Amino acid sequence: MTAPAGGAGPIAVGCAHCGAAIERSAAQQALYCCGGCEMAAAIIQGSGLGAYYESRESPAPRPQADSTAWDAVAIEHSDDRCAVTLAIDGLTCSACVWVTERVLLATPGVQAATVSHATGRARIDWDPSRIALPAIARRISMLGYRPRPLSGEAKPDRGLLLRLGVAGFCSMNIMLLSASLYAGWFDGIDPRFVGLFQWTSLALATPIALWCAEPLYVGAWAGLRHRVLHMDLPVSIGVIAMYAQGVYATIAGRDTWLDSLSMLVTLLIAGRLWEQRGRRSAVEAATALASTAPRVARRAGVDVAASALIVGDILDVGLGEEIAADGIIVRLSGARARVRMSLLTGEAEPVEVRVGDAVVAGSLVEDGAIVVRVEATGGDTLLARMAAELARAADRPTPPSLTDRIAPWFTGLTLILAALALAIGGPERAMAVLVVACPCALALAGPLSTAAGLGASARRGLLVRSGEALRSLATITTVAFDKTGTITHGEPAVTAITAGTGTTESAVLRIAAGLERASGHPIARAIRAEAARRGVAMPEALDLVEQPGSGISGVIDGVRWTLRAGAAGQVELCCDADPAHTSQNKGGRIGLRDVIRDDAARTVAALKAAGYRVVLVSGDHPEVVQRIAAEAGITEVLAGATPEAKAAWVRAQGGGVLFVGDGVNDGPALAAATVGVAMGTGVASTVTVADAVVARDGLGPVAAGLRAARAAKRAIRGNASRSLIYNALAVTAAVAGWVNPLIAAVLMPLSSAMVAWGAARVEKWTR
Amino acid sequence: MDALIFLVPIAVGLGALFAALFLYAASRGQFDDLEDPAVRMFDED
Repeated sequence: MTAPAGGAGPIAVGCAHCGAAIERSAAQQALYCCGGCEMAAAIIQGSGLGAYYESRESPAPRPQADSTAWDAVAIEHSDDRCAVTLAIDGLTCSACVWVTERVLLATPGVQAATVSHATGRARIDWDPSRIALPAIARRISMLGYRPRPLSGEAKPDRGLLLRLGVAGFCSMNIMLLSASLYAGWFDGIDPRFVGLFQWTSLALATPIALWCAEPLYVGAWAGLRHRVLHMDLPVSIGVIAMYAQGVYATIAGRDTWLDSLSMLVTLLIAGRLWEQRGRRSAVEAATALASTAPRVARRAGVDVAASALIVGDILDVGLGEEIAADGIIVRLSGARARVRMSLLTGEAEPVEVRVGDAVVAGSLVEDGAIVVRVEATGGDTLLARMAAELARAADRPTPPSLTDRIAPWFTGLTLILAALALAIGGPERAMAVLVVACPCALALAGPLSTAAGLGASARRGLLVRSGEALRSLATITTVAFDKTGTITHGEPAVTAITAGTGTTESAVLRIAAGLERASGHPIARAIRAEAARRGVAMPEALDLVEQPGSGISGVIDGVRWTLRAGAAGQVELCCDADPAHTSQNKGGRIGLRDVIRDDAARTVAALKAAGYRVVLVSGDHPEVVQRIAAEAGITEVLAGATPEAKAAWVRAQGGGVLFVGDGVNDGPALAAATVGVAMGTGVASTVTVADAVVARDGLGPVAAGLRAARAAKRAIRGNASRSLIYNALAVTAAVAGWVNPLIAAVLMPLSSAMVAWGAARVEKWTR
Repeated sequence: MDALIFLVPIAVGLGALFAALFLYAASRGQFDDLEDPAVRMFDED
C-alpha cells in the first residue's frame, strides 16, 4: 500500500523551510510540506536572504495563521511615523533574528526595525500612509515566527546603576587618601597634607552620604512609617552618624570614619543592584510567557477584534477556532459539534454541545462548527472575571525575612550599647559603637543570597517572581499538582494505532499524516508528531476536502481516503475504495490520549525523596485521575474537584502548600496556596498572577526551584549568624574603646567578603 | 611634596570627569542591553 502506483518509489526529504519529513516522487518538485512554508521561503528568497538557510542552527517553525487583533494594539504616534515594540516568539538563533529584521526592513513602508537577540523583542518604526501594523505583523507570522503585543512595558530602572557609579568613584578616591593618612600615623606626615586629604575626603563622601545612600534612607523611613524596624534603619543610623562625625572631625582636625562609610554604601548599593537585576530578569521572562494578545472573532463573515463585540452579536466559530466571548449556541453547522473547555474545567476531553448550550470565551471548537449569540464580552466574561478574582487573591501578605526579624533587636541593642559607651568613654567612643555596629554584612546577606537563589532557580527553569516568593518556597511541605496540562501535556498524543486488514500501522499513519499535513488542529499536530517520531514521511494529498464535523478527506496514491472522528479518543481512517466505508478494510484506527510528561515520574520521585508530600488534585473522573496518578507515581489523589473544592482543599492543609497548575480553573487554588506555580504554557492570566512560572516543557524546574529556595535559606541563615558574631565582637571591642578607624576599615570589607562567599555557595547547594 | 596641593585636586577633578562621562553614558541607556551588540557584529550586511 505504501508504494505509489507506477514510476520510481517516493523519496523522503525534509521540508526546505520547517524540516518536516515529506515524500517526493521522482517527477515531483515539491520541496515544502505546506503552502505556508512555501510562502515563507518565497518571501525570504525574494528578499535576497537565502543565506538564512545556510546559517540557521535549527529549522524554522511552521507558519500558522495569526489570530491577533492588531488593530487593538497601542501604537506610539509621532508626526508622520508610528512605532511599536513587539515580542516575537520562536526566534532560536542569530540567523532567525537576522532574517526577521531584514524581511521587516525590506517591507515597503517600514522605516526602521531592530530585533533584539537577548530579549526576543522587535522595535519597528513605519510610515502609516504606506503600511499598517496588521500587515507588518502578517509579514513576520508568514515566516513562521509569532509576533505578539506587549503589555505594560517597564523602562529599565537606571537609578541604582548611576548611584553605584558615583559611589564607586568617590569611595576609591577616599580609600587612596585614607591609605596615605593611615601611613602617616606610622611614618609621620606634614599636618598641611592631613588637612588637604581630610577635606578632599569629606568633599568626596558628601555625594555618597547625601545621594548614593538615599535608597537606604527611603527604606528605613518607609519601615518607620509602617511601624516596622527594617534592616535599613540601623544601617541608616550608622551612615548618618559616620557622616556627621566626619564633618565635625574634619573641622576639628581629628580622625574620621569616612572611608568605612563610603565602602559600606558602595557594597550595599552593589548588593541591591545585583538583587534587582536577578529579580527583574525573572519577572521579564515570566511576563514574556504570558501572551496578552487580543483575539479576533468572525461576525457576519468579517474578522473583528474581540474587544469590539457587543451583546447580541452572532459569531461563526469554525473548527480549531477559539470562542471570543461568552454566549449561547444558536446553530450547529454540521450534524454535531464538540467543544474543549479545558481552560475552565481542566478537562482535556472535548464535550459534545447542542443548540441552546452555553459556551464560554476561550473554549476551543474541536469538532464541527458552531454559531454563537454573544451574551457577555470583554471584562464580563467568566474567564475575565475569574482572572480578576485571581489577581485580587494573589495580592497576599508575605512573611518578614530573617534579617528583618533581627533588625528591631539589633537596633535597640545598638542604641543601648551606644548610650553605655557614651557613659563610659564619652561621645568619641559612642560614635565608634554606632559605626562598628552598622550591620553591613547582615544587610548584604539578604540581597546577595536572594539574588543567588533566584538565579540558581531561573537557570533551572523556574522563574521566581520575588524574594518573598523564594522565601515562601523554602517553607513548603506539600506539593500539589493539577492533572491536565501540568502532570500531562494537556494535548492529545498518539497512543495506539490499529491497522485494518490488508495494511500496516505505518501505512495508516502515513496516509493520516498526509491528510493532516497542513492542518493546525491539535489532533493533526499529534499525528504529524507521531509520524516524525516513527520516521514516516508525509505524502502529498490532492483534492483535500475538510468537512466540519465529519473530518477531512483527500486523494493519496490515486485513492480517496477519509479521516474522521470515531469512538471516544479515536480517529478512523477509511478507504473510499471500500464500499462499506469502514476502518476495518485497508483503513485503521488511531487512538489519541493526553499522556503524562516525560519527566513527571522522575520529578515526583525526586520530590518524595526530598521529603515532600505529593498530591494529585484534579477535576476529572476518579478512574482517569487514578490511572494518571499511578503512571506518575503519586499515591495521594483528590479527584472530581471543582475549582472551589481545590482551593478549599489547599486551605484545609493549613499552609506550606505549593500548587502547580496551568488553567484558569486552577486559579483559586493557586491563589490559596502558599506558593502558586503556573506552567509557562498555561493561560496568560494564570501566568501573570502566579508567584513562580515554569519556563520549560516539564516539571523538573519545580523540584529544582525548591532546592534553590532551601539553599538560599541556608545561605541567609549561615550569613546572618556569621555577621552577628562579627558584630557582637566588634561592638564589644568598640565599647571597651579598642576600635579606631583603621581597624574598622580592615574589618568591614572582611565581613562583607565573608557574606559574598556564603551567597556564592547557593549554586553548589542547589545541585 | 608641595606639588600635592595642586596634584590631589587635579587628580580628583580628572576622576570626576570620567565619573560624569559614565553618568552621561548610563543615563542615555548605554548599559541597558549588554548582550545584543556583541551578537550583532556577526551579522554580515
